[in-house]
Amino acid sequence: MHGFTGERTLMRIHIGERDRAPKSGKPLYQAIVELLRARGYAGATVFRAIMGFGASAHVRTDRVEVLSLDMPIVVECVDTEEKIDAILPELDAMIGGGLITLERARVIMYRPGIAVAGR
Amino acid sequence: MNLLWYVALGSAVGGASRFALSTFVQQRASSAFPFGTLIVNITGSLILGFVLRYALASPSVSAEMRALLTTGFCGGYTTFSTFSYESIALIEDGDYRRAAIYIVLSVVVSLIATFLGIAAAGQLLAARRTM
Repeated sequence: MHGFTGERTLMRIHIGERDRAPKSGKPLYQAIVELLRARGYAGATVFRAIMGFGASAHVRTDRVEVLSLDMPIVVECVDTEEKIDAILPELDAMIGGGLITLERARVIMYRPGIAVAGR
Repeated sequence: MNLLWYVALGSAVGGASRFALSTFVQQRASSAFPFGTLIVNITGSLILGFVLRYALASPSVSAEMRALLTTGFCGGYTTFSTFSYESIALIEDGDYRRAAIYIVLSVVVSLIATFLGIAAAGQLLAARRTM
């Protein structure tokens, strides 16, 4: 796993809290994380935001009750450029409305929490 | 049938109506000011004032229908808890000016709306009597 450090690609997927995966009907963010994990990607993190709007221009905010029912979600995943590119068609098929961005990231450290010598 | 069922039916329709109207209004308001809840509480106050006064003076309107329209529909439609939450949210943001505007508008205009609803019911009842 030490070989993972260096120039990598950071993928950010912007979707909504209530978006569902087409086949399973699971929450979309959950389906994306499960897909990435099943394919052996380095990791993924899901964030729920407190305000935002997207392609449909609907504002979501935790300040107003009826606007708080579909908060913005961001899924982040860092891996090699090839692996990120390889998953994009599948993500495109899963995601209805949303946004995917890629950017270069320099990985400084990547290791599991139990990787302490002697354990 | 138990009055509870009439209340349950009315509040189901009232809650769904609030959700629909509040979302419609809020998505057209470009700010995070809770216009949706404000409009719902004001119109609900108007409706309750009118319906309660009119129905109580009309023997043909049953207690079941009153339970459905007032405790049920208006109860599900208007919301004091959301008003409270959104006021606190504005205060948490330090937006005291808009919090004050929201609180004063909600309370004062809702009271005026209820008064107008009652007055309108009185007018209608008087007109009906002279016919």
